Amino acid sequence: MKDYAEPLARLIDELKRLPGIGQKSAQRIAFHLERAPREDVERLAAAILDAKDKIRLCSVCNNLTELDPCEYCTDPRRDGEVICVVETPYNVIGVEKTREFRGQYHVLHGVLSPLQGIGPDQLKLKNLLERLRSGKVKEIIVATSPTVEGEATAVYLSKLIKPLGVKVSRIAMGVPVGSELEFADEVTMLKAIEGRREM
Amino acid sequence: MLTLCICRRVDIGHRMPLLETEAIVLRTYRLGEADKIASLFARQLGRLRAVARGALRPKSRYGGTLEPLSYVRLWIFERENRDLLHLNSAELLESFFDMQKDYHVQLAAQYLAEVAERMLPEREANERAFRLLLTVLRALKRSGEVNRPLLYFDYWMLRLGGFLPDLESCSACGRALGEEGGYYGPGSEGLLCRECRLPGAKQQVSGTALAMVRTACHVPLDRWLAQEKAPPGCREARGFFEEIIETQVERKLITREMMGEEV
Repeated sequence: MKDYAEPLARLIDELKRLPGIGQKSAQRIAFHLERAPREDVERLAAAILDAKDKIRLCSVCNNLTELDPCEYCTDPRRDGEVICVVETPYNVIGVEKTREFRGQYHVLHGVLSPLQGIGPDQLKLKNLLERLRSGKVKEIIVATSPTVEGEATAVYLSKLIKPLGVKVSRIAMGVPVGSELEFADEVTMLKAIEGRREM
Repeated sequence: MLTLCICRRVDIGHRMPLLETEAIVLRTYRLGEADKIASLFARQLGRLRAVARGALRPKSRYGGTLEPLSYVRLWIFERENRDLLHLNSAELLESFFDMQKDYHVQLAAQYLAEVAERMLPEREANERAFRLLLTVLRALKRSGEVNRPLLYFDYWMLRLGGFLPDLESCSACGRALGEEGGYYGPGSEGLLCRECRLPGAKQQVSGTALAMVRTACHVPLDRWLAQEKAPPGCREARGFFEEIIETQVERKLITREMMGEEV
Protein backbone atom coordinates (compact mmCIF):
# COMPACT_ATOMS: atom_id res chain seq x y z
CA MET A 1 0.00 0.00 0.00
CA LYS A 2 1.25 3.49 -0.87
CA ASP A 3 2.01 5.99 1.92
CA TYR A 4 0.03 8.75 0.21
CA ALA A 5 -2.62 9.02 -2.49
CA GLU A 6 -0.98 9.46 -5.89
CA PRO A 7 -1.75 13.22 -6.37
CA LEU A 8 -0.43 14.03 -2.90
CA ALA A 9 2.69 11.93 -3.44
CA ARG A 10 3.28 13.76 -6.74
CA LEU A 11 2.93 17.13 -5.01
CA ILE A 12 5.42 16.09 -2.32
CA ASP A 13 7.85 14.90 -5.00
CA GLU A 14 7.60 18.22 -6.85
CA LEU A 15 8.06 20.26 -3.67
CA LYS A 16 11.12 18.19 -2.76
CA ARG A 17 12.79 19.36 -5.94
CA LEU A 18 12.80 22.95 -4.68
CA PRO A 19 16.04 24.18 -3.05
CA GLY A 20 16.19 23.71 0.71
CA ILE A 21 13.05 21.56 0.85
CA GLY A 22 13.50 18.04 2.14
CA GLN A 23 11.00 15.22 2.61
CA LYS A 24 9.64 16.51 5.92
CA SER A 25 9.21 20.12 4.74
CA ALA A 26 7.62 18.91 1.50
CA GLN A 27 5.11 16.83 3.45
CA ARG A 28 4.30 19.74 5.74
CA ILE A 29 3.73 22.14 2.82
CA ALA A 30 1.69 19.56 0.90
CA PHE A 31 -0.60 18.92 3.89
CA HIS A 32 -0.93 22.66 4.47
CA LEU A 33 -1.99 23.18 0.86
CA GLU A 34 -4.41 20.29 1.10
CA ARG A 35 -6.10 21.87 4.12
CA ALA A 36 -6.01 25.45 2.77
CA PRO A 37 -9.09 26.98 1.06
CA ARG A 38 -9.23 26.41 -2.68
CA GLU A 39 -8.88 30.17 -3.41
CA ASP A 40 -5.58 30.35 -1.50
CA VAL A 41 -4.15 27.45 -3.47
CA GLU A 42 -5.34 28.93 -6.75
CA ARG A 43 -3.77 32.26 -5.85
CA LEU A 44 -0.45 30.54 -5.13
CA ALA A 45 -0.57 28.55 -8.38
CA ALA A 46 -1.47 31.71 -10.33
CA ALA A 47 1.39 33.66 -8.69
CA ILE A 48 3.89 30.95 -9.63
CA LEU A 49 2.69 30.86 -13.23
CA ASP A 50 2.49 34.64 -13.43
CA ALA A 51 6.08 35.02 -12.25
CA LYS A 52 7.20 32.33 -14.65
CA ASP A 53 5.43 33.97 -17.60
CA LYS A 54 6.21 37.62 -16.91
CA ILE A 55 9.68 37.64 -15.42
CA ARG A 56 12.61 37.73 -17.81
CA LEU A 57 16.21 38.89 -17.86
CA CYS A 58 16.91 42.57 -18.46
CA SER A 59 18.73 42.85 -21.77
CA VAL A 60 21.09 45.46 -20.30
CA CYS A 61 22.04 44.12 -16.85
CA ASN A 62 20.61 40.53 -16.73
CA ASN A 63 18.59 41.29 -13.61
CA LEU A 64 15.19 39.63 -13.27
CA THR A 65 12.54 42.05 -14.45
CA GLU A 66 9.00 42.40 -15.71
CA LEU A 67 9.86 45.33 -17.99
CA ASP A 68 12.88 45.29 -20.27
CA PRO A 69 15.13 47.23 -19.56
CA CYS A 70 14.63 46.96 -15.82
CA GLU A 71 13.87 49.88 -13.49
CA TYR A 72 17.49 50.13 -12.34
CA CYS A 73 18.67 50.61 -15.92
CA THR A 74 15.98 53.14 -16.87
CA ASP A 75 15.87 55.23 -13.67
CA PRO A 76 17.36 58.64 -14.64
CA ARG A 77 18.32 59.31 -10.99
CA ARG A 78 20.81 56.44 -11.02
CA ASP A 79 24.41 57.04 -12.00
CA GLY A 80 25.19 55.18 -15.23
CA GLU A 81 28.93 55.76 -14.79
CA VAL A 82 29.20 53.22 -11.95
CA ILE A 83 28.18 49.58 -12.33
CA CYS A 84 28.06 47.10 -9.46
CA VAL A 85 28.70 43.54 -10.67
CA VAL A 86 26.97 40.86 -8.59
CA GLU A 87 26.59 37.09 -8.78
CA THR A 88 22.83 36.67 -8.57
CA PRO A 89 19.67 38.82 -8.77
CA TYR A 90 19.14 38.57 -5.01
CA ASN A 91 22.56 40.13 -4.44
CA VAL A 92 21.08 43.26 -6.06
CA ILE A 93 18.55 43.40 -3.22
CA GLY A 94 21.39 43.06 -0.69
CA VAL A 95 23.25 46.05 -2.14
CA GLU A 96 20.03 48.07 -2.47
CA LYS A 97 19.29 47.58 1.23
CA THR A 98 22.31 49.75 2.05
CA ARG A 99 20.52 52.73 0.39
CA GLU A 100 24.01 54.06 -0.37
CA PHE A 101 24.63 52.79 -3.87
CA ARG A 102 23.02 54.87 -6.62
CA GLY A 103 24.70 53.35 -9.65
CA GLN A 104 23.52 50.57 -11.95
CA TYR A 105 23.97 46.80 -11.80
CA HIS A 106 25.17 43.86 -13.81
CA VAL A 107 24.24 40.30 -12.83
CA LEU A 108 26.67 37.53 -13.82
CA HIS A 109 24.35 34.64 -12.90
CA GLY A 110 27.21 32.66 -11.39
CA VAL A 111 30.88 32.72 -10.50
CA LEU A 112 33.87 30.90 -11.94
CA SER A 113 33.76 27.40 -10.51
CA PRO A 114 35.76 24.89 -12.56
CA LEU A 115 34.58 21.94 -10.45
CA GLN A 116 31.00 22.74 -11.41
CA GLY A 117 31.98 23.28 -15.02
CA ILE A 118 31.42 27.05 -14.85
CA GLY A 119 34.07 28.90 -16.79
CA PRO A 120 34.13 32.43 -18.29
CA ASP A 121 31.91 31.30 -21.18
CA GLN A 122 29.11 30.35 -18.78
CA LEU A 123 29.01 33.79 -17.14
CA LYS A 124 26.85 36.57 -18.61
CA LEU A 125 29.67 38.89 -19.59
CA LYS A 126 28.88 39.76 -23.18
CA ASN A 127 26.48 42.63 -22.48
CA LEU A 128 28.73 43.96 -19.70
CA LEU A 129 31.57 44.36 -22.18
CA GLU A 130 29.18 46.07 -24.61
CA ARG A 131 28.20 48.56 -21.89
CA LEU A 132 31.85 49.24 -21.12
CA ARG A 133 32.76 49.76 -24.76
CA SER A 134 30.10 52.46 -25.01
CA GLY A 135 32.55 54.67 -23.07
CA LYS A 136 29.96 55.90 -20.57
CA VAL A 137 31.06 53.72 -17.66
CA LYS A 138 33.87 55.03 -15.43
CA GLU A 139 33.93 52.46 -12.62
CA ILE A 140 33.04 48.82 -12.00
CA ILE A 141 32.52 47.63 -8.43
CA VAL A 142 32.96 43.87 -8.21
CA ALA A 143 30.62 42.65 -5.47
CA THR A 144 31.06 38.88 -5.76
CA SER A 145 31.13 36.82 -2.54
CA PRO A 146 34.39 36.71 -0.55
CA THR A 147 34.87 33.05 -1.41
CA VAL A 148 37.51 31.32 -3.51
CA GLU A 149 35.16 31.32 -6.50
CA GLY A 150 34.02 34.91 -5.94
CA GLU A 151 37.59 36.12 -5.61
CA ALA A 152 38.70 34.25 -8.74
CA THR A 153 35.81 35.83 -10.65
CA ALA A 154 36.75 39.29 -9.37
CA VAL A 155 40.36 38.86 -10.44
CA TYR A 156 39.30 37.52 -13.84
CA LEU A 157 36.97 40.49 -14.35
CA SER A 158 39.59 43.03 -13.38
CA LYS A 159 42.04 41.56 -15.90
CA LEU A 160 39.34 41.64 -18.56
CA ILE A 161 38.08 45.16 -17.84
CA LYS A 162 41.18 47.19 -16.93
CA PRO A 163 42.56 47.23 -20.50
CA LEU A 164 39.34 49.03 -21.50
CA GLY A 165 40.39 51.97 -19.33
CA VAL A 166 37.66 51.50 -16.73
CA LYS A 167 38.43 51.70 -12.99
CA VAL A 168 37.80 48.36 -11.24
CA SER A 169 37.22 48.22 -7.49
CA ARG A 170 36.34 45.33 -5.15
CA ILE A 171 34.01 45.45 -2.16
CA ALA A 172 35.88 45.35 1.15
CA MET A 173 36.44 42.02 2.87
CA GLY A 174 37.19 41.38 6.50
CA VAL A 175 35.73 41.21 9.96
CA PRO A 176 31.91 41.32 10.05
CA VAL A 177 30.31 44.17 12.00
CA GLY A 178 29.31 43.04 15.49
CA SER A 179 31.77 40.15 15.71
CA GLU A 180 34.85 39.87 17.93
CA LEU A 181 38.38 40.00 16.49
CA GLU A 182 39.48 37.02 18.59
CA PHE A 183 37.29 34.75 16.48
CA ALA A 184 38.58 35.97 13.11
CA ASP A 185 40.70 33.48 11.17
CA GLU A 186 43.94 34.51 9.48
CA VAL A 187 42.49 34.94 5.98
CA THR A 188 39.69 37.17 7.25
CA MET A 189 42.12 39.20 9.35
CA LEU A 190 44.58 39.51 6.45
CA LYS A 191 41.84 40.75 4.13
CA ALA A 192 40.69 43.22 6.79
CA ILE A 193 44.20 44.63 7.14
CA GLU A 194 44.71 44.76 3.36
CA GLY A 195 41.46 46.65 2.97
CA ARG A 196 42.06 49.12 5.82
CA ARG A 197 41.20 52.78 5.27
CA GLU A 198 42.62 56.03 6.51
CA MET A 199 40.57 57.78 9.19
CA MET B 1 60.85 13.19 6.55
CA LEU B 2 57.60 11.56 7.47
CA THR B 3 55.57 13.62 9.90
CA LEU B 4 53.19 11.50 11.87
CA CYS B 5 50.08 13.14 13.25
CA ILE B 6 47.95 11.35 15.72
CA CYS B 7 44.22 11.44 15.36
CA ARG B 8 43.12 12.38 18.85
CA ARG B 9 39.79 11.38 20.35
CA VAL B 10 38.28 13.64 22.93
CA ASP B 11 35.12 12.52 24.67
CA ILE B 12 32.42 15.17 24.69
CA GLY B 13 29.70 12.83 25.80
CA HIS B 14 29.05 9.16 26.28
CA ARG B 15 28.36 8.37 22.66
CA MET B 16 30.06 10.97 20.46
CA PRO B 17 33.85 11.10 20.66
CA LEU B 18 35.32 14.20 19.06
CA LEU B 19 37.98 13.41 16.47
CA GLU B 20 40.82 15.80 15.80
CA THR B 21 42.48 15.61 12.41
CA GLU B 22 44.30 17.67 9.79
CA ALA B 23 42.55 17.94 6.45
CA ILE B 24 42.49 19.63 3.08
CA VAL B 25 39.12 20.97 1.95
CA LEU B 26 38.52 19.57 -1.53
CA ARG B 27 35.25 21.34 -2.25
CA THR B 28 32.13 22.57 -0.53
CA TYR B 29 28.44 22.36 -1.36
CA ARG B 30 25.62 24.51 -0.12
CA LEU B 31 23.21 22.72 2.20
CA GLY B 32 19.92 24.36 3.05
CA GLU B 33 19.97 28.07 3.82
CA ALA B 34 23.19 28.56 5.69
CA ASP B 35 24.96 25.21 6.02
CA LYS B 36 27.75 23.69 4.01
CA ILE B 37 28.83 20.15 3.23
CA ALA B 38 32.61 19.99 2.99
CA SER B 39 34.32 17.26 1.04
CA LEU B 40 37.56 16.72 2.93
CA PHE B 41 40.73 14.73 2.60
CA ALA B 42 41.68 14.11 6.21
CA ARG B 43 45.20 13.05 7.01
CA GLN B 44 44.22 10.44 9.55
CA LEU B 45 40.74 9.49 8.33
CA GLY B 46 40.94 9.64 4.54
CA ARG B 47 38.35 11.23 2.30
CA LEU B 48 35.07 12.08 3.98
CA ARG B 49 32.18 14.53 3.93
CA ALA B 50 31.10 16.60 6.87
CA VAL B 51 28.35 19.11 7.58
CA ALA B 52 29.30 22.55 8.86
CA ARG B 53 26.23 24.12 10.42
CA GLY B 54 25.80 27.84 9.77
CA ALA B 55 29.02 28.02 7.70
CA LEU B 56 27.46 30.40 5.18
CA ARG B 57 26.46 32.99 7.76
CA PRO B 58 28.61 36.15 7.84
CA LYS B 59 29.44 35.66 11.51
CA SER B 60 30.07 31.94 11.17
CA ARG B 61 32.74 30.55 13.47
CA TYR B 62 34.31 28.90 10.42
CA GLY B 63 35.08 32.22 8.68
CA GLY B 64 37.35 31.52 5.74
CA THR B 65 38.61 28.18 7.05
CA LEU B 66 36.35 26.04 4.88
CA GLU B 67 37.21 27.63 1.56
CA PRO B 68 38.26 25.05 -1.05
CA LEU B 69 41.85 23.83 -0.72
CA SER B 70 42.42 25.27 2.74
CA TYR B 71 44.70 23.19 4.95
CA VAL B 72 42.91 22.99 8.28
CA ARG B 73 42.76 21.26 11.63
CA LEU B 74 39.29 19.95 12.33
CA TRP B 75 37.34 18.65 15.25
CA ILE B 76 34.57 16.40 14.01
CA PHE B 77 32.09 13.97 15.43
CA GLU B 78 30.11 11.15 13.98
CA ARG B 79 26.61 10.05 14.76
CA GLU B 80 25.75 6.40 14.64
CA ASN B 81 24.27 5.14 11.37
CA ARG B 82 24.90 8.45 9.60
CA ASP B 83 27.11 8.79 6.53
CA LEU B 84 27.86 12.45 7.03
CA LEU B 85 30.11 13.58 9.83
CA HIS B 86 29.57 16.86 11.68
CA LEU B 87 32.11 19.59 12.12
CA ASN B 88 32.50 20.89 15.62
CA SER B 89 35.16 23.50 14.87
CA ALA B 90 38.00 24.26 12.49
CA GLU B 91 41.31 26.03 12.64
CA LEU B 92 43.11 27.32 9.57
CA LEU B 93 46.66 26.00 9.22
CA GLU B 94 47.43 27.29 5.73
CA SER B 95 45.33 29.18 3.25
CA PHE B 96 45.55 28.97 -0.52
CA PHE B 97 42.99 31.73 -0.99
CA ASP B 98 45.38 34.10 -2.75
CA MET B 99 46.16 31.49 -5.37
CA GLN B 100 42.87 32.49 -6.99
CA LYS B 101 44.51 35.61 -8.38
CA ASP B 102 45.48 33.67 -11.48
CA TYR B 103 42.66 31.84 -13.23
CA HIS B 104 45.03 29.21 -14.69
CA VAL B 105 46.42 28.43 -11.25
CA GLN B 106 42.88 28.28 -9.85
CA LEU B 107 41.92 25.81 -12.56
CA ALA B 108 45.01 23.74 -11.79
CA ALA B 109 44.25 23.76 -8.06
CA GLN B 110 40.69 22.66 -8.66
CA TYR B 111 41.99 19.93 -10.96
CA LEU B 112 44.00 18.60 -7.99
CA ALA B 113 40.86 18.64 -5.86
CA GLU B 114 38.81 16.87 -8.52
CA VAL B 115 41.40 14.13 -9.09
CA ALA B 116 41.83 13.62 -5.34
CA GLU B 117 38.07 13.42 -4.86
CA ARG B 118 37.62 10.91 -7.68
CA MET B 119 40.66 8.72 -7.09
CA LEU B 120 40.90 8.43 -3.33
CA PRO B 121 38.61 5.90 -1.65
CA GLU B 122 36.39 7.06 1.19
CA ARG B 123 37.48 6.62 4.81
CA GLU B 124 40.92 5.25 3.94
CA ALA B 125 43.84 7.21 5.35
CA ASN B 126 46.62 7.79 2.84
CA GLU B 127 49.48 9.75 4.37
CA ARG B 128 51.55 9.79 1.19
CA ALA B 129 48.70 11.09 -0.99
CA PHE B 130 47.99 13.73 1.65
CA ARG B 131 51.59 14.93 1.65
CA LEU B 132 51.63 14.86 -2.16
CA LEU B 133 48.53 17.06 -2.40
CA LEU B 134 49.89 19.53 0.13
CA THR B 135 53.31 19.67 -1.55
CA VAL B 136 51.80 20.30 -4.98
CA LEU B 137 49.42 22.96 -3.66
CA ARG B 138 52.33 24.77 -2.01
CA ALA B 139 54.34 24.51 -5.22
CA LEU B 140 51.47 25.95 -7.25
CA LYS B 141 51.05 28.80 -4.80
CA ARG B 142 54.77 29.60 -4.69
CA SER B 143 55.70 29.20 -8.34
CA GLY B 144 52.46 30.08 -10.14
CA GLU B 145 53.54 27.46 -12.70
CA VAL B 146 51.02 24.83 -13.70
CA ASN B 147 52.75 22.26 -15.92
CA ARG B 148 55.40 20.74 -13.69
CA PRO B 149 53.33 20.59 -10.45
CA LEU B 150 50.43 18.94 -12.27
CA LEU B 151 52.68 16.44 -14.05
CA TYR B 152 54.29 15.57 -10.71
CA PHE B 153 50.87 15.18 -9.08
CA ASP B 154 49.47 13.00 -11.89
CA TYR B 155 52.53 10.75 -11.90
CA TRP B 156 52.53 10.20 -8.15
CA MET B 157 48.75 9.85 -7.79
CA LEU B 158 48.82 7.09 -10.41
CA ARG B 159 51.83 5.48 -8.80
CA LEU B 160 50.41 5.60 -5.27
CA GLY B 161 47.12 4.21 -6.53
CA GLY B 162 48.93 1.38 -8.36
CA PHE B 163 47.69 2.57 -11.77
CA LEU B 164 50.95 3.88 -13.24
CA PRO B 165 51.60 2.05 -16.53
CA ASP B 166 54.98 0.94 -17.78
CA LEU B 167 56.67 3.97 -19.33
CA GLU B 168 59.46 2.04 -21.04
CA SER B 169 57.75 -0.70 -22.98
CA CYS B 170 54.61 -1.35 -25.03
CA SER B 171 51.71 -2.50 -22.85
CA ALA B 172 50.64 -5.05 -25.53
CA CYS B 173 53.84 -6.67 -26.81
CA GLY B 174 56.38 -5.56 -24.18
CA ARG B 175 58.80 -4.15 -26.79
CA ALA B 176 60.93 -1.17 -25.63
CA LEU B 177 59.35 2.11 -26.73
CA GLY B 178 62.61 3.94 -27.49
CA GLU B 179 62.89 7.39 -29.07
CA GLU B 180 59.51 7.29 -30.78
CA GLY B 181 57.72 6.86 -27.47
CA GLY B 182 54.22 5.40 -27.38
CA TYR B 183 50.64 5.99 -28.47
CA TYR B 184 47.42 6.23 -26.51
CA GLY B 185 43.81 7.25 -26.90
CA PRO B 186 40.55 7.43 -24.96
CA GLY B 187 40.24 4.51 -22.54
CA SER B 188 43.96 3.64 -22.69
CA GLU B 189 45.54 1.92 -19.72
CA GLY B 190 49.09 2.08 -21.09
CA LEU B 191 51.27 3.03 -24.04
CA LEU B 192 51.34 1.12 -27.30
CA CYS B 193 54.16 0.87 -29.83
CA ARG B 194 53.63 1.73 -33.52
CA GLU B 195 52.93 -1.93 -34.43
CA CYS B 196 50.39 -2.56 -31.68
CA ARG B 197 48.76 0.86 -31.98
CA LEU B 198 44.95 0.71 -32.12
CA PRO B 199 42.93 2.96 -34.46
CA GLY B 200 41.77 5.15 -31.52
CA ALA B 201 45.30 5.63 -30.15
CA LYS B 202 46.02 8.91 -31.92
CA GLN B 203 47.99 10.75 -29.26
CA GLN B 204 51.72 10.31 -28.95
CA VAL B 205 54.13 10.72 -26.06
CA SER B 206 57.71 11.03 -27.25
CA GLY B 207 60.60 9.02 -25.82
CA THR B 208 62.18 12.28 -24.64
CA ALA B 209 59.05 13.20 -22.64
CA LEU B 210 58.92 9.74 -21.05
CA ALA B 211 62.60 9.88 -20.13
CA MET B 212 62.05 13.32 -18.61
CA VAL B 213 59.15 12.02 -16.50
CA ARG B 214 61.18 9.06 -15.24
CA THR B 215 63.95 11.29 -13.94
CA ALA B 216 62.15 14.53 -13.00
CA CYS B 217 59.35 12.95 -11.00
CA HIS B 218 61.87 11.24 -8.74
CA VAL B 219 63.45 14.42 -7.41
CA PRO B 220 61.64 16.61 -4.86
CA LEU B 221 59.22 18.94 -6.62
CA ASP B 222 60.81 22.07 -5.15
CA ARG B 223 64.21 21.10 -6.54
CA TRP B 224 62.69 20.43 -9.95
CA LEU B 225 60.91 23.79 -9.92
CA ALA B 226 64.15 25.53 -8.98
CA GLN B 227 65.42 24.72 -12.48
CA GLU B 228 64.77 27.68 -14.69
CA LYS B 229 61.93 26.51 -16.86
CA ALA B 230 59.79 23.50 -17.58
CA PRO B 231 61.49 21.01 -19.92
CA PRO B 232 59.77 20.26 -23.23
CA GLY B 233 57.41 17.29 -23.11
CA CYS B 234 55.65 18.23 -19.85
CA ARG B 235 52.36 18.99 -21.59
CA GLU B 236 52.34 15.80 -23.68
CA ALA B 237 53.22 13.63 -20.67
CA ARG B 238 50.46 15.31 -18.67
CA GLY B 239 47.98 14.57 -21.46
CA PHE B 240 48.82 10.87 -21.22
CA PHE B 241 48.56 10.70 -17.43
CA GLU B 242 45.28 12.62 -17.47
CA GLU B 243 43.90 10.07 -19.94
CA ILE B 244 44.95 7.20 -17.64
CA ILE B 245 43.31 8.97 -14.68
CA GLU B 246 40.06 9.38 -16.63
CA THR B 247 40.19 5.69 -17.57
CA GLN B 248 40.65 4.70 -13.92
CA VAL B 249 37.93 6.94 -12.50
CA GLU B 250 35.65 6.00 -15.43
CA ARG B 251 34.54 9.55 -16.13
CA LYS B 252 35.67 12.74 -17.82
CA LEU B 253 37.32 15.27 -15.53
CA ILE B 254 35.51 18.59 -15.77
CA THR B 255 38.58 20.63 -14.89
CA ARG B 256 40.72 18.82 -17.49
CA GLU B 257 38.30 19.85 -20.19
CA MET B 258 38.35 23.44 -18.93
CA MET B 259 42.13 23.52 -18.82
CA GLY B 260 42.13 22.23 -22.40
CA GLU B 261 39.96 25.17 -23.44
CA GLU B 262 42.37 27.58 -21.80
CA VAL B 263 45.51 26.26 -23.58
